Amino acid sequence: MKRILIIDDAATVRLYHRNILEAAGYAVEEAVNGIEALEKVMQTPFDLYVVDINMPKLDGYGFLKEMRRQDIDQAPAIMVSTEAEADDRQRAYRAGANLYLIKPVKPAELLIHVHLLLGEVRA
Amino acid sequence: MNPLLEQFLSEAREFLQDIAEKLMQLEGDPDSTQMMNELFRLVHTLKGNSGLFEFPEMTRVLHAGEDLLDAVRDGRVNYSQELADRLLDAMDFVNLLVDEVELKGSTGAGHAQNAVRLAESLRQLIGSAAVETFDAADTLDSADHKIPDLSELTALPEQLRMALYRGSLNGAELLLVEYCPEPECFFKGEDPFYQVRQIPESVWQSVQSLEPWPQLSKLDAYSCNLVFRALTTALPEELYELFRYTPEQVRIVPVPAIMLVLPQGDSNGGPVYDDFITDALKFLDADDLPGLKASARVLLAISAPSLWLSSALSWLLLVLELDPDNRAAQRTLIASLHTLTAPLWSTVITTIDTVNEDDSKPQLSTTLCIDETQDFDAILQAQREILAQPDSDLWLNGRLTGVASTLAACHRIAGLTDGLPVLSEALAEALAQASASPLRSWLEDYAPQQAEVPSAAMQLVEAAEPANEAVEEESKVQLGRRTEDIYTGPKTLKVDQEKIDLLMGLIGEMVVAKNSLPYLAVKAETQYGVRELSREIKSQYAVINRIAEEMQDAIMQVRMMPVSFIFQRFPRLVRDTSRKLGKEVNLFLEGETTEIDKNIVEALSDPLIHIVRNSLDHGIELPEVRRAAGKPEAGRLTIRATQESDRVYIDISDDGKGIDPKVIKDKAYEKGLIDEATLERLTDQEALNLVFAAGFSTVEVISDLSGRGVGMDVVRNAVEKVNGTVSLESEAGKGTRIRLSLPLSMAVTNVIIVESDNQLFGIPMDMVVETVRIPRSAIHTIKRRQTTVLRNRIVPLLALNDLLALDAEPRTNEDDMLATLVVRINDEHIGILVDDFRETVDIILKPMVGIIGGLGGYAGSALLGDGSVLMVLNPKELV
Repeated sequence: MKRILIIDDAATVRLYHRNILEAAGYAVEEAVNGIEALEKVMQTPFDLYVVDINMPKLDGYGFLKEMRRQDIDQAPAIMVSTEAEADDRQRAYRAGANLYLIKPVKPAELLIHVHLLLGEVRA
Repeated sequence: MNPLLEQFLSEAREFLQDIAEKLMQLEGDPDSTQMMNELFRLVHTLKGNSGLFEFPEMTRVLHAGEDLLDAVRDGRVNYSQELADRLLDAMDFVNLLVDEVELKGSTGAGHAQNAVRLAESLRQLIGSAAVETFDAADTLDSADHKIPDLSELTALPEQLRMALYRGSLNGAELLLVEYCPEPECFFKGEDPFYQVRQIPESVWQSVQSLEPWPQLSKLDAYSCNLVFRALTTALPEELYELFRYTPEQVRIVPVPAIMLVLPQGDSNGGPVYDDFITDALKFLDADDLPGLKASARVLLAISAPSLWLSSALSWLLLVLELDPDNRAAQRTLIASLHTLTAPLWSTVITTIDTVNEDDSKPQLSTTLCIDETQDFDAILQAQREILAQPDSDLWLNGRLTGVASTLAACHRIAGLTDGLPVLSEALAEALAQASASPLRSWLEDYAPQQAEVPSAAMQLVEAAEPANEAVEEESKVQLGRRTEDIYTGPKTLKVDQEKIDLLMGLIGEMVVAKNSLPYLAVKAETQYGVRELSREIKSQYAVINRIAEEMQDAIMQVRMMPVSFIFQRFPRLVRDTSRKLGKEVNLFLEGETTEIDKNIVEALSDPLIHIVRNSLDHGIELPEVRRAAGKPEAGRLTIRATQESDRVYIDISDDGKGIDPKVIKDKAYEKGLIDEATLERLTDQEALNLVFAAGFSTVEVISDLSGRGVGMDVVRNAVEKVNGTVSLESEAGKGTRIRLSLPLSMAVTNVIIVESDNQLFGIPMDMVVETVRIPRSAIHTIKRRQTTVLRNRIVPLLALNDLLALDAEPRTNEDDMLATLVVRINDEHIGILVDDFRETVDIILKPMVGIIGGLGGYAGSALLGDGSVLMVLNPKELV
């Protein structure tokens, strides 16, 4: 089973994404900020990351940069944000995200992207 | 309720609380960037959360709040008192919505107007820079008064218009919905066409361009340039509900029936009968409607039906029939017969005739259709953009590897496997050169411009894996140390309250169940004669007893909550209230970390608010009064919590004008609460205690704030309900202090067991003053009541048998003494005659539920160690 890490400080958003991803048969874990996420990734890397931008302690950009820089894991990462501005998108890409989606991400949309990024055939 | 929503609600409440707190703190320290950032993050996250649900009103207000805070953060707008006020108002509104969602599961449509108003008031503060998105809303009001342009109504078949006219005059009000979606609506997941088709009871719909269409070469197909109009007989509420996400883009105006009267047809043919017009006007002047009708019918009969004239005549006849008193309309119609010219109709571009078809037709494009191909392209595009980022970043290699694995994955799924072997090479090259260009050229070579979605012919290809493990190992250690330095958050667990209560109940039962072991030990010895077993049971009991007690303590600890839970709302309360009263008050909170049982905390919140309001309203004086009295202008209100052994004290003290005992005495006498003799006798302290008497209020006029029909007696009752007491000290001119004394926990009750008529009853020990045995001879009958004198005090005596309507006389012991339990009820001592006393026990009191729930006189029931049920009395209700 593919493992996905959801990194978001809002419990509601985490639960929302978890529901979608678990229903599709993924093993989901959560982290509430970048630091906690890094700790988890260092234990066992995941197959995919769903990362929020605005978080306390260490934000999404910081998490991705750190993960990419230290070569902890290079699995695909989806950055989700409520910001629709293009400069945030560029910042996300620069930090190491592989896709930038605007919240709220519709379930079907999220799943298609996850399938594609994981290279799986859609069930 | 669904768990996601539940999660949202509980999180939203936390956020709202935090937001309010941060706002208050910012008032003291408006320049704190850190606090401002934190505040922004809270509002931002809450907005994001609300977006997951269908709470458009909530999202709208929060969005405005977020934008405003963003502007403050960037220094575009200055933090001000007014800004805080508006934000607090907005958060109150959100709170209200949260409450409503919790209650009903959704928010009603009725909040849309408020939401628009609040959002607007927030956006006003941002100033001109960000208002443009709300221009539509700003013009909403003025536009409402305009008479709609209904010239295009001619597009409706005449028959239909006549039917509508008929219906409209019969009271079916016709509404025009004008919906002007914003240009970027397609990017917000809106589907205006679908939306319009959802209009209930719709009889006619049209779509036009808002601005004239530009040349095809300049046309932006992604920008909405449409205006929709629809006629409906639905209720305005239904329409507001439908357009609740975009209320500022919709105009709903009633259509007067007469607007439907639009003759149409060929104006170029047919005879012109000037005579008819002269006659018709004469008929009208003479009020001869039948004559006018007859004349019109004749002319209609000889005119070709396709003529404009015929149409106008038909309308005239209809108006004459349905609205015979509307002279103005009739005259206008006749006048237009003369000119034979219709008003100028503007061009109708497209008309969708959807009469009665809404429900039967399958709906097109309900949701945004997500196509995998499209997403595949989106991912490729994203990777192109990623590769276009500067190559100078330290984490470039990681980024490149990430891109490569992403490309590998999605190419594999699309079945495009040709480029995959080369991809690993391109990656290796890119990593070696520390440049994105090898991957960029790979993309150019292998990424198709238009992905044909192939039947997934799967082919496993090695995805580019992170290269060197040694480096990874090293960085782990390095990073491990770093993270430890930063991350020191406490690990807390959120547990459902019900689960704790269940655990509490179970522990209670275990505590009671273990009490059966001593009985068993006695039984083993006396009944079965096994002394050794009895001893062993006893020693085991000691162990179980200790564990059970520790467990109980531990669970109690879980239920303990810091009083800050109720204290945290006071800064806002004091701020708002004192401002409303024109007073200056500094609030000091102390001992917020003091913990107390959850149930008690909850029971306290209302009484405390009441006390604080009282202090602000009646205690602390206006600044000028204070100055005259030689006090600082700003009053001081202190709320302090302290713990002493197993009691928690909450003191609310102010340095206001205090309470004058004389005023209290006079008022109490006036209200008939005390008689003249008492008036003389009362000490000052006793007088002060009168404020707790039911029906006492020192203020004649009920003020907006404290006087809500609730007096201090209600405060006392609430506190006593959780086995607490309340006392008041006051010095005229200096201030008042109210002290609440509360038990740490109310889970375990100590009761004394008494016997009466061969039954056992429990009475809570905290009500018991003493237990005495009184010789029968010491009982006197005064005013037909049995009394006795105890410690120089007359104590009325009541037999428990009588109180419980048990048909038995109180029993005495060998010495003819009666067992008497003296209890304190409202500061009065009363003796309850019972047959005998038994031991005192700690019990878990279970309130009476179900059918016996309404039974008075009982505090509840408890399970005893031997498995029997003990009924615990509530003497207060009994006497």
